[in-house]
Amino acid sequence: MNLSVVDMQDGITKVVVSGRMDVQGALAVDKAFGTIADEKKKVVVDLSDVSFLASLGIRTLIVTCKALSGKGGDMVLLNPQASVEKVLKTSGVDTVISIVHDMDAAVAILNK
Amino acid sequence: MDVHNNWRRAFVGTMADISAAAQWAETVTADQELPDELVFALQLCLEELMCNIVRHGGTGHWDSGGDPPLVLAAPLNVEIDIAIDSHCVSLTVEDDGKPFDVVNAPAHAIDRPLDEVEPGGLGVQLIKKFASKLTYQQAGLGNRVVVEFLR
Repeated sequence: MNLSVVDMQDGITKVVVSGRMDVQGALAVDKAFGTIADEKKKVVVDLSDVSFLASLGIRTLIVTCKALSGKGGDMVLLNPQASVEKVLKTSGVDTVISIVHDMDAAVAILNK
Repeated sequence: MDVHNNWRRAFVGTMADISAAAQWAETVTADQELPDELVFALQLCLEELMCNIVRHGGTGHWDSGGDPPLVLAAPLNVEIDIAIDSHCVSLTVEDDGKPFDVVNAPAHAIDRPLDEVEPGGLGVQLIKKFASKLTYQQAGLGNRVVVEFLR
């Protein structure tokens, strides 16, 4: 699983992840998400190229979003594939982290 | 004619074998002309069942808040069977760990504000929602879970 971080306008950080966010994938990006939670405030996680998501990957997303929210920040999930979005909705993630399908919507939420 | 295919392989309850089992299942299902959603559901249920075995089935304990052990002191034995026919794909996972009835285990989805959410504990919910049918019995190696996916 790969992860890249792009700083954008308005203090927004775009995190692009790709690959399988299974147990191995989640462990591979946990530390990077921890750093993002420490250093950033408004984060978009682009899931376009994530082909698989399981509960350990959800845990990584929840932990990161809680940390950001705890210091007045927020996190948005961008453009998950259909099966990944089904996992997110089945587990109730969509009730606590916004899921959007275009960057403009993500920016609007983070700039509220 | 009802074509029936059956694959079975032994693994152990380690982090490395969670990935090995996923790769094996991917290979088994690759040329079976199965819907992508079904393959995804099978992979998801297999991953969650294997994680439960590694995290909770043995004498060691992995709290997901810390680093998981790569090798338990005594890894559990796990046998996985995938059967495919024209109507159904059946995933059977047996292990010799502590009894764990996934069918009657509580299934949690996130149902509270973010600041009250405790990370983790979503695996059973995912298994129950992505399976067409789920059964548990104490048989075979000890725990036997059968997950069926209708085609």
